[in-house]
Amino acid sequence: MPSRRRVLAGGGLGLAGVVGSVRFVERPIPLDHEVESAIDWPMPRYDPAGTGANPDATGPREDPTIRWERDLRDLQGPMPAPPTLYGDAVFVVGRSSLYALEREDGRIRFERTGYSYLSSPTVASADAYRSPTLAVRGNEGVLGLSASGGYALAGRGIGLERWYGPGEEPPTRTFANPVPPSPVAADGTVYAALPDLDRLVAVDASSGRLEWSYEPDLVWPGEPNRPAVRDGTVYATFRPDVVAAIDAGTGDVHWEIELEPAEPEDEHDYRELVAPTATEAGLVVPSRRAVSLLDPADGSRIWEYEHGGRVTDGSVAVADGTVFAPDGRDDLHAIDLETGQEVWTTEYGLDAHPVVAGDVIYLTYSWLDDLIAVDVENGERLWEREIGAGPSQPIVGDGVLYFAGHEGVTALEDGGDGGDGEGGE
Amino acid sequence: MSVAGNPSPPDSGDPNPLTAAIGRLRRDPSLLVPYLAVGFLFAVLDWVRRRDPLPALEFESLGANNGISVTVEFVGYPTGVPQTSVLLESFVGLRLGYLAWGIVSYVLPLLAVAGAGAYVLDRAIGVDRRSETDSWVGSITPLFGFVLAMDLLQRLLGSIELLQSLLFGLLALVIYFFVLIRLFAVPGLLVAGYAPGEALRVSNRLTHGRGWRLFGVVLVLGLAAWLLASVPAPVVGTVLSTALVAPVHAVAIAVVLRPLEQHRGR
Repeated sequence: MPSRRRVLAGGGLGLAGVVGSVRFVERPIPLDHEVESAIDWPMPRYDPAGTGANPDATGPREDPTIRWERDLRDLQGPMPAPPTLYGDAVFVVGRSSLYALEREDGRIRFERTGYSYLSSPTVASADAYRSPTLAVRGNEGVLGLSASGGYALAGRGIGLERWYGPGEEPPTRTFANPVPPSPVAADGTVYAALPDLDRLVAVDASSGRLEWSYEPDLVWPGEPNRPAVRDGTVYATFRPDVVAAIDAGTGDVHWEIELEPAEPEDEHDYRELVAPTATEAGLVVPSRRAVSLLDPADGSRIWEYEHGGRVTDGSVAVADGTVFAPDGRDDLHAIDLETGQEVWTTEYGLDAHPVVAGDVIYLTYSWLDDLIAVDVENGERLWEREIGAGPSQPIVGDGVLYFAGHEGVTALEDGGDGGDGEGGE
Repeated sequence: MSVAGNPSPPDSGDPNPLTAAIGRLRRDPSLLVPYLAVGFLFAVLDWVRRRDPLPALEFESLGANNGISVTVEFVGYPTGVPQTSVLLESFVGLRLGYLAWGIVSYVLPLLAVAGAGAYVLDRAIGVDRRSETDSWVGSITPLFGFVLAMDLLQRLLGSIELLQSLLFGLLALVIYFFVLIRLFAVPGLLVAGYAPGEALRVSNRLTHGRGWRLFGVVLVLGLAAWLLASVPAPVVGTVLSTALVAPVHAVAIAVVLRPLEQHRGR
């Protein structure tokens, strides 16, 4: 008997086609466009480079009101992984399901049961398909899901899961909240850090076929962070201190270095690198006590900004020539991208993934219930709001900010008569 | 044109289907040729599938899963083991051109297997035809129907999570092998002109009392196909598993059908 899962189901597929008009069969729901628009947020940290900033997007600048809230039974506890915004849909992964919500009012477009979806979904263009692939990290690999949801026949999804790669999916079922690192997509390829294997892989977004795989040669392999992709190069950081630049197309390693510790005389001192951001000025690499800018040509250090904090998670945002870096202990730092000099600091003592839309920085922390908005110009706190336990990092679209949290997804917009919008189910 | 009559119960003088099949192939090696061609077709399709943008599953060779898994590559009809197979579920949402290619990529190897099977079984059984126009080609369609049905059935079973668990999986495996053994002669009966329902009934009767012997045949053929397909050289594994195992399987079916021929002879 074939043990290969997901080989399916000619029988089931045929049946779905025959009884396609019956109510218990749910059909795929096409998106309203198949190319990225300026106000999408197609992956965590917004773009392949991991800037966490969309210059075309705007979010609430003043104390916001709720545009809509949607209760989702499968979202429980802290939700570190954010939703994804693409076309007219908001995608969010739960403990054992994928949801697509209407961007406008939060109504459920589809809900599909699945398991081992362990990260936020990343939208990847897939040439062979009419709709993009949603790439999510799974056990020891990546899953490619249909952004249209495929069919659902009496609760069983058919055509949702396009592929698993690399190799064959392990039989282990994991029911867990999605967490970073999420895959990154660029030009039809999905780049995924696989913490289970201490490896970075590139797979084709249509077929799921492995294009290349990378493990550092230096020291022992540590856990990889979300990679950053820019100008045909994939930049990867591995804990505790490995940074590498890899050709996005071939997997050839351009360079691989170990960042020396801030205190080299202390043999127990490590960098503890988190996810990098690729910019036009170089590669921004945050670590426990500093932020470094590396030359993309060879990894040499251009500048280093020591904040003396204790970053263990999170990332930086980069917008309009400024790096916004939480230090995990005291402050949020604004650093000039060209010079590495401080622009301003403001009090914010948590590991966070700041995002920038327009002239506002938004900050959440998944174990607290605050959403904070900060002015990019001077660090002035514009507003803060209690939003319930366990919010994800936010994403921002056309005037609306979205986040996932305990039991649901919320959309906030600037003031007005927003009220409570469409109530949760 | 069919081989008519009721099957005789097996007797202790039944030849071993495997040794008899190998003996026949040594005497008439031309029976290897159709499946050799199918093996090369499989190899070409493997090459294309590894380059097209459609998802495909890779064959799990010897040494996969840390070397702890053993696979019996037996699917109920004579065939080989390609290194790739298409995922029907991934067809949902394909653009039209890719969908068309996906269907071709799925159907073509099954059709080739049915064609080779019809020819080899026809010659191995020695079916009497009523006329020149009533050739083995006419049996391709019913055999293709059987091949397609078995493939879809196995995909459906493979997609049921419950059957992948150890407890239910073992129970399902026992039932699965029981059914495969009872259907062992169906491809030959379809080529011999039996209607599908009749072929199922006659195969059930023919295999009654030969279960353990046929279980051994299934195991040997399935393991041999898997081992040959695991040869770590491009093309070689696929071609070997197809060109060597499938003809033995086909002729072994003809050996199991001999009681019918004897009945006809009387």
